[in-house]
Amino acid sequence: MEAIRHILVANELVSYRESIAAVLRTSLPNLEVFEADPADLNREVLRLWPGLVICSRVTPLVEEKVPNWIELYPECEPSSTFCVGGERYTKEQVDLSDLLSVVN
Amino acid sequence: MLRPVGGGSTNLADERPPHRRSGRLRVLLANEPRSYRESIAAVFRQLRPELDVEVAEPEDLESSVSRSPPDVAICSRVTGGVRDLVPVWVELYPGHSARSVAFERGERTEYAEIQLGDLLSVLDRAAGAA
Repeated sequence: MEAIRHILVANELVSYRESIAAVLRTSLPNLEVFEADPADLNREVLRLWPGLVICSRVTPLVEEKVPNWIELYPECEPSSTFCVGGERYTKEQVDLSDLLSVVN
Repeated sequence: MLRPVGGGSTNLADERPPHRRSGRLRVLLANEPRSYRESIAAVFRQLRPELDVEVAEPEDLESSVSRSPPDVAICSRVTGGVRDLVPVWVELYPGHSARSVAFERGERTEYAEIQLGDLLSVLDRAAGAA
C-alpha cells in the first residue's frame, strides 16, 4: 500500500469533523490533514488527491480515485465501511483506534 | 464503562464534594457514536490537560451521574439525572440533528451547528465559574 501523505476529513457534523481532524493532526504529525464540508468532498478530492478520505457518505469519485476511505456512520447507522488498499470491510461500533489503524 | 483519567489525591479534611476533591473540573462525555466520543475526549485531554475528562457509554450516563455528578456533561440525549445534578451540560446533536443545546448554570443556549471551539468555550466558562 502506498504511504498516505494527505488525509481529507469530510464527515458530517462540524464538531465531530473538527475533533477527528485535530486528533489525526496530533497523532500523525507527519501527515497533512484537511477538513472539508461534505458538500465539497468531490472538489477537495480532485484538488488534494488524498491518500485517505473519512466521510459520512462515500461518492463514486472517492471510490474510484481514493485508495483508502472510511464511510463513517452513513445515515447515522452504527456500522461503518472501510476500504483499505482496495479491500473493503464493515465494522460495527468503530473506535478511534480503528481510524488511526488505517494509517498506521 | 467509565474510564477516569487524571485525578489527584483525596484529602480527608477537604469539605468539597467527593467528585471535586481533586480540585480539577470533571467532564463526562457520553455522546454517541463511540469514535466521535473518543475523538472529542482526546482533543479535550490534549488542549485542556488541567481537566479530568471521562467517557461513558450513553446507557451508563444516568448511573455515572448519580454515582458521582461531573461538573460538565456532554451527551446525545440529556437525562433527568443530568438536568438535576449537573450544573453545565451540552446535548450534542440529539437525534442526529445538527442542532445542539448548552445549559450553563441556568442559562440555555441553542446552537444551529456547534463547533469544537464552542465546546471548549463551555469548558472554559465552567472552569472559570468552578
